[in-house]
Amino acid sequence: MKQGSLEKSSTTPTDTSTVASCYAAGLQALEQGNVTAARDWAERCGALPDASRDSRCATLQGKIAVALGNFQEAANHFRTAMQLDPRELGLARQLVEVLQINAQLGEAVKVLENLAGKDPKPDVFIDLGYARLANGDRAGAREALERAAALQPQDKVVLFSLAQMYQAIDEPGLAVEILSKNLRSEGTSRLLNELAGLFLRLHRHRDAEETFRALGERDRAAELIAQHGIIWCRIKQTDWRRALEVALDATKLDRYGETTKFLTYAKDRFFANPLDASEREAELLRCLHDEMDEYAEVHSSDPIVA
Amino acid sequence: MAVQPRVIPPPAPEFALRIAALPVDRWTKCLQCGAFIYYKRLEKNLKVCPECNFHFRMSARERISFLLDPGSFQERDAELTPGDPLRFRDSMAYPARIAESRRRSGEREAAICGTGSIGGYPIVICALDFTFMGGSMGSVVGEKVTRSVELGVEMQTPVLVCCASGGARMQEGIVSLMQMAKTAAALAKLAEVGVPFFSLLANPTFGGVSASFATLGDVIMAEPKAHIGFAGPKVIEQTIRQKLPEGFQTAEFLFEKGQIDLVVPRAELPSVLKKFLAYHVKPAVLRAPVPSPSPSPRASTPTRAAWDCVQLARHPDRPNLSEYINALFDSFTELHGDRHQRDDPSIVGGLALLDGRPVMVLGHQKGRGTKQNIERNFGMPHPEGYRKALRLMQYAGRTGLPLLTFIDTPGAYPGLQAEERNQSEAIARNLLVMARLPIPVICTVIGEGGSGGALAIGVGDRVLMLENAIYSVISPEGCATILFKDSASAPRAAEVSRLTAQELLKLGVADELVPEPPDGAHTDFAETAASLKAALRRNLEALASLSGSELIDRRYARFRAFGSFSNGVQEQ
Repeated sequence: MKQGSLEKSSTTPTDTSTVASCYAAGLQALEQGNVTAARDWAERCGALPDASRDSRCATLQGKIAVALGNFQEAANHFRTAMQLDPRELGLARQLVEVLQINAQLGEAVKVLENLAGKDPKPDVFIDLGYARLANGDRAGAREALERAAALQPQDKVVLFSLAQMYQAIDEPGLAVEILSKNLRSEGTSRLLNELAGLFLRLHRHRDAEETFRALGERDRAAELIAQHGIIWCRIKQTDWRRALEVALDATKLDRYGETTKFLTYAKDRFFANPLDASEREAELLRCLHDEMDEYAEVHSSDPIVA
Repeated sequence: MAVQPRVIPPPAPEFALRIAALPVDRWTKCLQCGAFIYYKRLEKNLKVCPECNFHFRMSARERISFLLDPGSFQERDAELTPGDPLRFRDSMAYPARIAESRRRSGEREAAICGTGSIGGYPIVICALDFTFMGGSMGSVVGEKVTRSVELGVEMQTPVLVCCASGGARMQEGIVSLMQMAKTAAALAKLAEVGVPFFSLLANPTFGGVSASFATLGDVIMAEPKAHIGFAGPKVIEQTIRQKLPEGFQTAEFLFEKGQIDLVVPRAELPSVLKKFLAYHVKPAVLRAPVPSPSPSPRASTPTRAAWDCVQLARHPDRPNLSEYINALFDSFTELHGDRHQRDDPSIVGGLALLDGRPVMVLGHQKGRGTKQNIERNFGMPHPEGYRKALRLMQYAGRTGLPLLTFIDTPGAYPGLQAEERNQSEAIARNLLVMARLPIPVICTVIGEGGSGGALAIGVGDRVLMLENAIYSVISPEGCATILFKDSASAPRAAEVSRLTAQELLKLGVADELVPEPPDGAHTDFAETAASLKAALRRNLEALASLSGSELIDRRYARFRAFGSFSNGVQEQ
């Protein structure tokens, strides 16, 4: 592509004499949601003598295919466009996008690795990390996400992605470090719920208790989960008295459900060491995890920082 | 209350902006299998994990968007806002909680309703949004469901409610409880005017929603693995102090227990709904039936010994119901379950098209071979089978679909559990209801017509019999044992019982015989099916012009006339 750009040109949409004008008109039609008109422009574009040497015809066809939900076809067009104009990085991004939608992750990884060499941006490394992970390359995934974090150490999305990656490759300690150091203060209830879960996984009950407290304060709807979490953390710190106090307090919110189980166990442990303690603790932990999973599901579309 | 059809403008700009601003992770972790999925891939896959088939929750707007034809949705009543009848306050005041939910979900309330189309068929839709206060039903949700149903009544248009709710909204207390009665009352009116109601249950559907409109569908569908029930599993566990079995209260569990008709993967929902809507198009717009061969009754076929007929009616290769369904109908969608106990596989029923004309089909289902026959209990229904049949008959009666039944059973299942669940009442109830169905009812005996178990789906305006079918009050073996004290006398018992189609035609129990090939239906199934189809078409055509009350009166007269006696002294 001579111009080296896919941006809309200022050519009027009625001009059918050049690839640039047809391309611009086609894009405009797509923006207006008129796919039929966009197709007309793509056809006119393809009929021009220099069409086979210009990536924009294929690019327009790719975009039309995306608009129609034909992602396999879109990938073919973007591949053609990339062959015609290998220096145009925007084309690689568009190809990666449709490859990821098609779950053609092997090819996506190759394109992303190439792209990362030419245009090392955090979002490229994030996609590369996830695509590698989905392909089973855990070490490569970690390396890509760490490079993204090195490029933008303060970027919340990058850091959250890195934390997720660490969790996925069984490095919860590293995930906790990132989330608690960088995101906790501004974290939404979704993030705090996840962080509390990580602390529980690492048996860091003091930290988990603080996180549960923050969760309850940030979202009143999560108050009961937070109370249950605090009771659990107190139990694991063998602070039976405080566990019992929090459980009693929690009965203001709920007198029937899980709270009763926590209250009964805290009371029993306060006075004795029941024989079935381990089974009951396993049951309480299961209940807490169920509540947290349910909360995570409901809030899975929430932002991670306020 | 008169419904004011009004198109409400789209939500206020701040809501739309909020939706657009919701940051979504580029890669989403599946909540079930933990796989990371590119978010746009997940969206393309209708929010179903491509790795493990986990159905992520959908907002009401997303659901409407993927179910309805593009651009067809016209939202109504979007401006409805809840009051605060109890001045409720828990950790925050109710109005503040509403405001918070609005901020989070981008919606004004937990239900969105309006009109649209699916595959070109018009529909009234109301979808609940779990992201808004857990989809709980307060005044607005109740009102929107009710208004949707009332609109269905007014427009004579099928209604679909998509449920995802934790139940009644505590913050509106008793007022929210009353929404259960309000919505159910509206649905009763919808049933009265014969408009179908479809209910789609998504994860989760519980409490006051499941105990009102959600489970009142003529057809109830659920998404795979959706959790559905009245009380939540934790409450049940605490009450009974027992661990609940794996899969308890899932859609699949409910299906097995006969509580829902279908478990439908999300991607298939639009096509399944389109099919259901097609079954409720008035026949006037459908193609005219093909002229059929000359009418019978036919009684001129060579007479075969009764015992030979018994052997043919029970022949292991004799065509069974599912084979007739495949041969006779353009399309068939099976409906399942009695809504109470389980789905009895010895009765099969569902919606079908006969030459483009929607009908309700049900009948006894025998298996082919030992394994299938065990699965189908040899075509011997339990009470729940008859109750499934009852439900489908009533559905047909309400919505004006002609009912075609196919009889092929040795009899109702004589077992312990069948008695415990009141087999007698199940059969009797069907006789009662069939007598008053305001729709054409054509019953065909295709094999064995075993006593009350056969009659339970045999009270029709017209009773057809295949030439070698039999129909009797007791099996020849049973009759021989009781009356001749010798089961080996079954052939003689068959003869004296006059159970053949020829004899029953003479007795007026059968109205018409459907010819079979000389050696029985199984020797040329295509020919038999063609003859049966022609007979069904002809009889249906003849009944189509009669009103509901005429049909009921004639049916009453038909069965009223059975009996043989003289004044005070019964004939032998």
